[in-house]
Amino acid sequence: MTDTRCFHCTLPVSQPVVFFADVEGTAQPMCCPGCKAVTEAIVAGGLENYYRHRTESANQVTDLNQRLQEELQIYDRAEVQKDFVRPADSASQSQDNHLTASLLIDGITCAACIWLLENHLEALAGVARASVNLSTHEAQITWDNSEIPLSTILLEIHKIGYQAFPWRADQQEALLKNENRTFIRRLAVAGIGAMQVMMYAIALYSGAISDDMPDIYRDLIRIFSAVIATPVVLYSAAPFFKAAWRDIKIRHLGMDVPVSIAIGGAYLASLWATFSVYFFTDGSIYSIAEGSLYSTAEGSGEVYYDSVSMFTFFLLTGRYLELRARHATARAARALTNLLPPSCLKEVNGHYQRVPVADLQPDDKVRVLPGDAIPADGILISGSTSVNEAMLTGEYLPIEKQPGDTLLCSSINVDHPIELKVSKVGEETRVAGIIQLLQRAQQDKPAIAKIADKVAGWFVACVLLVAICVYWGWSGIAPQDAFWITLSVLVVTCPCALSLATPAALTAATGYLHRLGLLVTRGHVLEGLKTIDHVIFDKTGTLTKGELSLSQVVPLANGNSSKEALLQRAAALEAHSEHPIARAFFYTVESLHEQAHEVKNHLAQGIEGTIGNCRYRIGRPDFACPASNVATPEQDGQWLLMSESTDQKLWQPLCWFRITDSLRPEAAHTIQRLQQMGKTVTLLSGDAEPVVAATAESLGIRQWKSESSPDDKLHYIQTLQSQGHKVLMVGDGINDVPVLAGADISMAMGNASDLARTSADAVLISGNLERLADAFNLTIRTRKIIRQNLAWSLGYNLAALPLAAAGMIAPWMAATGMALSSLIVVANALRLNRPGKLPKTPTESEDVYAHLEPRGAA
Amino acid sequence: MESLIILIPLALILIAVAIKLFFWAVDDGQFDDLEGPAHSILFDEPQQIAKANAHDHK
Repeated sequence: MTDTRCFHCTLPVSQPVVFFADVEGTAQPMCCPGCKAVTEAIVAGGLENYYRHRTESANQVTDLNQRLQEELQIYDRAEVQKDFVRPADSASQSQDNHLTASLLIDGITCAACIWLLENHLEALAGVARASVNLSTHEAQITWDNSEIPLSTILLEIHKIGYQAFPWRADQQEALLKNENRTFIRRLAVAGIGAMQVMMYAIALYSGAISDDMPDIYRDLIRIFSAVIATPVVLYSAAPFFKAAWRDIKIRHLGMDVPVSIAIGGAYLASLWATFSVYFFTDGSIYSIAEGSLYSTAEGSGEVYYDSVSMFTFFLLTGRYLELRARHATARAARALTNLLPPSCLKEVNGHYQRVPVADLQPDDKVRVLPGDAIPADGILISGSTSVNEAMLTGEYLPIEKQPGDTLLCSSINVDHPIELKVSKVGEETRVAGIIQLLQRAQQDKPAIAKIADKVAGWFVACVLLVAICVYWGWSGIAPQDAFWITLSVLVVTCPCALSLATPAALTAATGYLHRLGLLVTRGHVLEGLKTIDHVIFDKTGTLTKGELSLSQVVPLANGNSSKEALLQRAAALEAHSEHPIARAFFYTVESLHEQAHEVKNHLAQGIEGTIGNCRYRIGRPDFACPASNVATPEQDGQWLLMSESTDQKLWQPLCWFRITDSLRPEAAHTIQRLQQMGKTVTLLSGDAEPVVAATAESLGIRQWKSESSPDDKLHYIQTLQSQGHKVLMVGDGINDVPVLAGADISMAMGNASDLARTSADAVLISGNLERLADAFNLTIRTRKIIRQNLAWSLGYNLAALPLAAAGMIAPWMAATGMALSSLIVVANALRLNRPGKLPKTPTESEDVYAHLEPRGAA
Repeated sequence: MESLIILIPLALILIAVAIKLFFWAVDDGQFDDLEGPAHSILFDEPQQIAKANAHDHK
């Protein structure tokens, strides 16, 4: 077990550490050559400060290769650039070569990244300006096209560990930006207005209490309060009125209706109180009738401009936080769909040429290199290879393909270069079909009604009824007071505390979860979690990390080499393969002491090569040892056999290697916690039965289903739902998308495909499953707080209502009470924001590598 | 108390100016990124020192 972590990406590093990078005079451990290269590039640029200021670790770096450079060069073409590059501002007219590009940067984790990117790019010759937006991960780069090509700039971004994509600010993006800006403006008007009006209100109240304020000043303050409150009501509160109008049109008493009645009613009454004096009294009377809390018929009544403005401001703040969370995910989701598609090699006049995928037509001939994604559905015409269809099927082991087989768009070619004839492009591909399935499932999704909206509907109806009764009653007893008493009833029962009760608690809880790494993107998640009784996990990429690793090494008795030596030889062979299995070996060896020569890849069988003066084979047992029938040590898991031979005829079995998809370290504990909460946990996977069974067993999951297609999964949860169960689905791949959309609540992993992230109700950004259990815990607390809030605000309103209806509460008292009750509700909700009672989760190094024998031995 | 007659309208004008300024800032894109600029101020200073040191060594 080791505690050494990579200085750059903070992933655990095996002992002894092989890669070091010199940072500020200290040799820092590195996990891989990629991180080392990035760290050196950062240090060479004099940007070591990045490591001092960053708050999140960097992502692990993938290797830079020739293909990437070629692919980036596509972006130098004018016809490709026209979408996201425009001439730089005309301020520097003399330099015609200056261009500005909008890029989307992937891999930004904290503010230090922004600093690193900006400084690294601006240090390049030819780059005039680089600015990166931390919220949207958007970069604006201005450069001199005659000095440096765009591809070099993109490559430099890759060199320091980020990925850059062209970013086209489309119409929807412009809309989001506009919405954001309009909202901030509304907030500003409401905030500044509320501040000012509340200051005037203090003067008015103190004047009203001591009763010695000359009327002329009182009227002056009221008129100016009205002037300030008017834009707050007409501009800032406009969204509430619009929503209320929409609600009324569809005959539904939503929260916006009482909010609008409260704001609109109080505002209009205040206007009446302020200005009616001048219409009915010829401006001559400035007196309050004695002996009454209320002014008499011609008198002035009370004003509520302060309450109106403050209420508007509070509500807008809550909605703004919601809006920002929504925008953040909308952007992350659209990032992928907006990107220029990756390139592919298309045959043009007998030569292969790199073109954007969008240029492909059916019947085109395309060449796909190992490691590349297949750009369209098609038929394999020459070469044979294995293809990873994990994105579509969830099966993480590559599938063999021979000429004539069908290849699916966005699966990954693993072994050999192949040529395919395109049959379907774009919308007609299988991936696009899954997207359509998603859209259907989304439409079927049951809407979980909001608690507050339900309560509010009844509440509003009651309040309106009571108000009408009060008016009718008092107009019989004291007609001159009827309007004002009715108004104080409306103010006292103003549902602001009630309407704040739920959103305030939800906002606080959502914000807290976001800080923990769980981004809630749809409002119903926190309310809905409590009803969930079934939690369904996908396997690959959700419970497991979706990458293969070596979990066991079993040397056979007839070999006399040590375990380390065997592992060394296996790694030397696997170093010549691009196969996912090979990567499992790469990360377990410290360095290659031996080199393999004359290496041959046998498709879907294994690798053969010479080390020293011996010939070695590693791969399927029947390949490594064709003559004898050696039984695998255990049934489950995937076993590779290594064998040696001196004459290439008789193969001696040497060692077994077990390859598994490593489980997330916190998975078992999370599932245990969920089961303790009384949830039924199910594992649904597209993988083969033995693998799924073994995973389920090791995690303590009693229900599992293997070899499920996306349709099977959707059907499975629909069956559960028809039995009255509520289902939470956690998944990551495109294959999970329909089922994510069909579940009552869906959660995608942070590294999930973007499509999965968009269709999910929540995204586990941190990738830590433990947060899921925390979310359930938090829901319980949130519910408690919401109940307290609702109880308090309803109790307050119900207690004050008879008093107000009896004419015993002056409107200023009602307004103060209203404000106080809102503040209490907000303060109570903020208790959810207090960190604390979340249990500690095991760190990665404790669990993941514990079972990996070679490391322990090394 | 008479001063109110001047001070209150004055406050109103100040509010109008404040809102105007705020709108300008919003349109200028100053609220598009609410996180990045707050941090960036921390980074630059030590960088200068590092550069100065480098010069000293020469």
